Amino acid sequence: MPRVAMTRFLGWLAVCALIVGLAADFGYAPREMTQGNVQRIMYLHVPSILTAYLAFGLVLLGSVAYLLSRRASWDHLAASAAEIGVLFTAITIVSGSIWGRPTWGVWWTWDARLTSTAVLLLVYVGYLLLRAMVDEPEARARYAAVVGILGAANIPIVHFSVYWWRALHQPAAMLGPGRAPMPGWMKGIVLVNWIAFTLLFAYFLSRRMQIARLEEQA
Amino acid sequence: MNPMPDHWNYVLAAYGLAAIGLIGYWRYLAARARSLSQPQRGKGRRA
Amino acid sequence: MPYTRRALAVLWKDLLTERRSKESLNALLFFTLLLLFIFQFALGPDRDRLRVALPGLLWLGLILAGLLGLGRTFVIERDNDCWEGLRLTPGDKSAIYLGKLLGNFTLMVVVEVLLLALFAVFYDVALGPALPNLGIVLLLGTIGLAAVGTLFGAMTAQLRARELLFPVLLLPAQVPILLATVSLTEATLLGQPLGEVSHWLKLLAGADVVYVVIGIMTFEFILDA
Repeated sequence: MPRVAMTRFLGWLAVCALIVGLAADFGYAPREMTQGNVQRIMYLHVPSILTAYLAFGLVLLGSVAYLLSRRASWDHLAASAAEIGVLFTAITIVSGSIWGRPTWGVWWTWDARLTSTAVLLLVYVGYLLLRAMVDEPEARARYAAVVGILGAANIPIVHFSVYWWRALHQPAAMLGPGRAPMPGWMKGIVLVNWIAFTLLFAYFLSRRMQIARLEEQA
Repeated sequence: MNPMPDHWNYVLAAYGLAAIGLIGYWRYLAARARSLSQPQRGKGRRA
Repeated sequence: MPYTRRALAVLWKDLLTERRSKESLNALLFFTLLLLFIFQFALGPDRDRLRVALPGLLWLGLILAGLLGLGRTFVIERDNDCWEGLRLTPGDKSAIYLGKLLGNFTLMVVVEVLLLALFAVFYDVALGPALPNLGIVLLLGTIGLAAVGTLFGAMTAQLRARELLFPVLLLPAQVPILLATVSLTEATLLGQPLGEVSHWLKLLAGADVVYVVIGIMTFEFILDA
């Protein structure tokens, strides 16, 4: 079947890209001036959150398209993208926390980026819980779509509110993970890793949607 | 500026946990696909 | 029946039901009184610590009351077999949403007023000069809470797991409202003019618009089968 073969090809492509990414992270990238080698975590942390945003954008697309067309494949897209998005968000938060420990001295700070990413996680874990607790597929798709739309619309609102909330309690110029401006070669490495993550995301999405399709027919 | 001491264990922890998460999800997908291709015995599971 | 009349009909029905039975309102008001004690006991006898936490406690109290009260209007419909009636109403279902929203909003405002009064008395807070600005903040925040609470309340009322899912879905959605109202309340209690914190006001108002619009547009999908 062409679809399965394409998915498999995508998977191998993703593995190759990830290897290239790792080589860039550890081989090509030099030891950073201020933070030392810990800064390499950024090459994992930033592509991860970018992939999560892509995923949640697809959740929004799938949700709106489902409500308009009532075709189950859109719901499969939303559900699959949400699951993978939660995975990448969790990776973002964990890597951000681990990065913060030697640089800031604490496992968690309520800094704007970590906090709004955590809220993102809460919203979409709630989305997955809703899906898990509704048995009837048609109702599940409808309800999830509404929650998905509200969740996505809330993302920019959450960002501003958390950022302003922190601005009151913390000096704006705070050096730490992600604060310093990035030189060109650093952006290049982030790009390489981001491409690898996007390929991996596409592979996961393809497999997950196949599963959703098969389960619907079962 | 003093260079910070290397914290390779943190780097390893971050990349390691990410790898565990991603590989774990891949295995979860494989397991679910396998259970679907086997003959169904009860109700179909949900998406 | 034209749109607004339908919305107002739903509102009127809920208000009448509530006035006759006083079910939800009495329990909620008593709950609010209980919260006062809980907050005091949780924070300890130090009066200053309580005063510093006041803006947060106010909104925390409202959210807790909201978690209890906001889902109920739809659960009541299901218990009394009115649900089918709602679902089969001809025309734009979003009128029902607006009616319910207005009802929930009114309920929350009543709880709020009581909460404020209790705070002023029991926690010895001088609210006088801050009241007009505080009122604006609370009204704006309540719209946001009621808008999402009504939408999710209608949804979870149809589910077995409603007691779990309603808070789990509502709370993350309320984060911006919570952050905005607490910051604004802090500012008003300190006597700051609203102009200085206008960015929060704009965020709050903008969020309200987004939530209500989404509620209006998606409510029919929650109801239909």
